[in-house]
Amino acid sequence: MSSSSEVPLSQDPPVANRAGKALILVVERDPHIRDLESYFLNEAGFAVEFTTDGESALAAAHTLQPDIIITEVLVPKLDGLALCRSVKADPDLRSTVVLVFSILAVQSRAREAGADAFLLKPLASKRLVDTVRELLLIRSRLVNRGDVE
Amino acid sequence: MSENWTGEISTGEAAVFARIATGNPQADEILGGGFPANSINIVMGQPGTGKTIFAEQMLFHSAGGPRQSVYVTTLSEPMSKVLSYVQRFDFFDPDRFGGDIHYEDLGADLAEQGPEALISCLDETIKTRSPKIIVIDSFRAIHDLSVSNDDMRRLISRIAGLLSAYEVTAFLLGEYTQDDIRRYPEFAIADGIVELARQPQTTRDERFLRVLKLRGSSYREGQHAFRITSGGLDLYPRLVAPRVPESYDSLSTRLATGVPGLDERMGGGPFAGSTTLIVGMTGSGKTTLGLQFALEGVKRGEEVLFINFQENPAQLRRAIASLGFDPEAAQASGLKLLYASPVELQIDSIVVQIFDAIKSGSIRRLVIDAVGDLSHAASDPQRLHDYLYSLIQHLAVRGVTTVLTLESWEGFTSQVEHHQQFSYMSDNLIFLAWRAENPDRRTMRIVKMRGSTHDAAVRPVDIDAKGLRVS
Repeated sequence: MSSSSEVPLSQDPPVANRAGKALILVVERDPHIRDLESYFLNEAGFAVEFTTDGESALAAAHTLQPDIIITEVLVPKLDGLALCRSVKADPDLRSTVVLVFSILAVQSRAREAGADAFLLKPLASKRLVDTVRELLLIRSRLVNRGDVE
Repeated sequence: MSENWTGEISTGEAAVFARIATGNPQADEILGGGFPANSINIVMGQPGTGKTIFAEQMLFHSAGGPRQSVYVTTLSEPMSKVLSYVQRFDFFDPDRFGGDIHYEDLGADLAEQGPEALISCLDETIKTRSPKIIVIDSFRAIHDLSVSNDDMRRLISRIAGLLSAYEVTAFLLGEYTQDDIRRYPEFAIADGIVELARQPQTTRDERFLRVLKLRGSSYREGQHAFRITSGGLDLYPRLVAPRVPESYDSLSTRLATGVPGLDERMGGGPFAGSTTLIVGMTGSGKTTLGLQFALEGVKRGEEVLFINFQENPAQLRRAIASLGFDPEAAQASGLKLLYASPVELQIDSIVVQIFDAIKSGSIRRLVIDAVGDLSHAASDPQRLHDYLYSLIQHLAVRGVTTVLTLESWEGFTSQVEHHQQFSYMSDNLIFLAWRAENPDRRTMRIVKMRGSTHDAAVRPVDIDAKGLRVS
C-alpha cells in the first residue's frame, strides 16, 4: 500500500475527514491510471490512498475507513466486484461508497454487486471528479438522514 | 446505498463508443464514421503526401467545447513552418488558435533531453490541459534520436500506457514506409493506421488514402483517391457495389432509344435500368446514337445525364443542334451535360461526380461517351473495372438506363475478346462498324441482349441529319 503525504488518518468516517479532505481508496494496478487518478483527485482536494489488489484493499478499508473506494474489476486476489460485495456486506464499512471504474463494460454486474456508481475507462478527469463529488453528496445526505452510521 | 446508483448518468460509455470526425465527410465515410474515440492512430506517408493537412483539418473541425486539442511538433518540421502553411487553408480559424487548439514545439527539448522529453510533455499535457485530441508530428522522428530498439520499445509501451489511460484520441504522424510497419513497435500498439500515398503518373501525380487497420470498426478497404485543395483533402471514396442487388425481374419496362429501327431489333428497346455497351470504330455513329438516346429521354420529359470526354461543350451543343434540337431548350428540359477533359481526367473524381448526380434519383438516362477514355486515365485497369462494375450496379438498383460507348478498331470477332472486361458487365452489347473499302456502308449487330430476344443479324445503318437509322 502506498501512502500519499496528504492523508492524516482517523478512525472516524464522516464526509470531509482527514483535515477537511475526503479520503478515497483506489484499487488499481495500472501505474499510468494510478498516477493520473492521484493527480486529478488530489487537485480536486481529496486525499488518496492506493492498493493494487482486492484483499489488501479490504484490509486497508478497515484501517482507513475511506469515504469512497474506487476499484477496477480486474485486480488480483479479490476482484473488484467481489471486493464491492464484501464491502457492502461488512457492517464496519456501511458508510463506505464504492465506485467501480473499469476497462470492462460491466455496469449491470457492478450494480448487482452493490456498487454505488460505475465508470468506464479510460479516465476522463472531469467525469471522475464530478462522480466522486456526487457520491460524496449522496453519502452525506444518507449520513445526515441516519441511513448509515 | 445501491438505490443511489449514479452509473446511468456517468458511465462514460457514450464517450467510449463515440467517433472523432475528421472534418472531411468522405474520410468519415471511409472510416465508418470517423476514428474511434480514445484510440491511438498512425497517419503515415512520405513527405508531401498531406499528413499534416489531414491532421490540421481534423483539429480545426473538432475545435470547441470545454476541452482543448494539442498539436506537438518534434524534430522534422519546425512549428513556425507548420503554422505558416496551415493559415493558407480555408479551414484555418485564427480564433481557435491558442485557445481551442494549443501548439507545442518540442524540438529543442527532444534535442536536449532525448525521447524522455516526449513522455514528460504528454504527461504534463494530459494533466494540465485534459486534451481531447493530441497530434504528434512527427513521431517517426523520435527514432532518429539514436535510441536503441529496446529503449524504443520501452518508450512506446510507456507512451501507449499513458495515452490509453486517459480519455484522449492520439494521432502519431510520420514519414513511415511499408517496411517500417514490420520494424517499428508503434505499429503494434496502434488502433488505427491510415496511409497517404502519392503515385507519379505521366503528367500528374495521383494521391491515395488507404486504411490499413482500424480496431473494432469496419471501414472501406482499398485506395481512395484525393486531391489537396484550399479546403484540405478532397477525397473520392472508392465506389463499391450496392448491398441490394438489382432484381432483373422487377425491371420489365422497355425504353425507346430514339434510333429508328433499333427498338424493334432489341425486342422493344432496352430494359429500364439496363446498361448497353456500344462498341465501334471512329465515325461509326457511337456518339450520335448516344445523343439520340439522350434526346429521346428529354423528349419524354426525363432527366438525362450525358458525360463526354472528347467533344467540348460547344462541340457537343453543335452536335445536338445538328440532330434538330435546340441545345439550350434541351438543357432547360432536363439534359445535363458533363464534360471532363481527358488530359485532367481522374477516374475517381469523375465516377464520384456521376454517382453524386444519380444519387438524387431524378436521372433516368445516362450516357458515358466514351468509357475507353476512363481506361486511358486509369493507372490500374483492375481499379477501372471495379469502379465501372460498382457504378453499373448502382445504376441498375436506381433504375437508370445507361448507354456506354467504346471506341475500337478491331473487327467484330476480336472486339468481343478484347473488350470482355466491359462487355460482360453490360446487359446489352451492340457493335457498329464501317467497311474500309466502302466507308458509307455502316452496319450494326446486336451481339447480346440479356433477358430478351433480339435480332442478331448484321443490319445496315444509315446516318443523316436526323441521326442513325437501322434498316
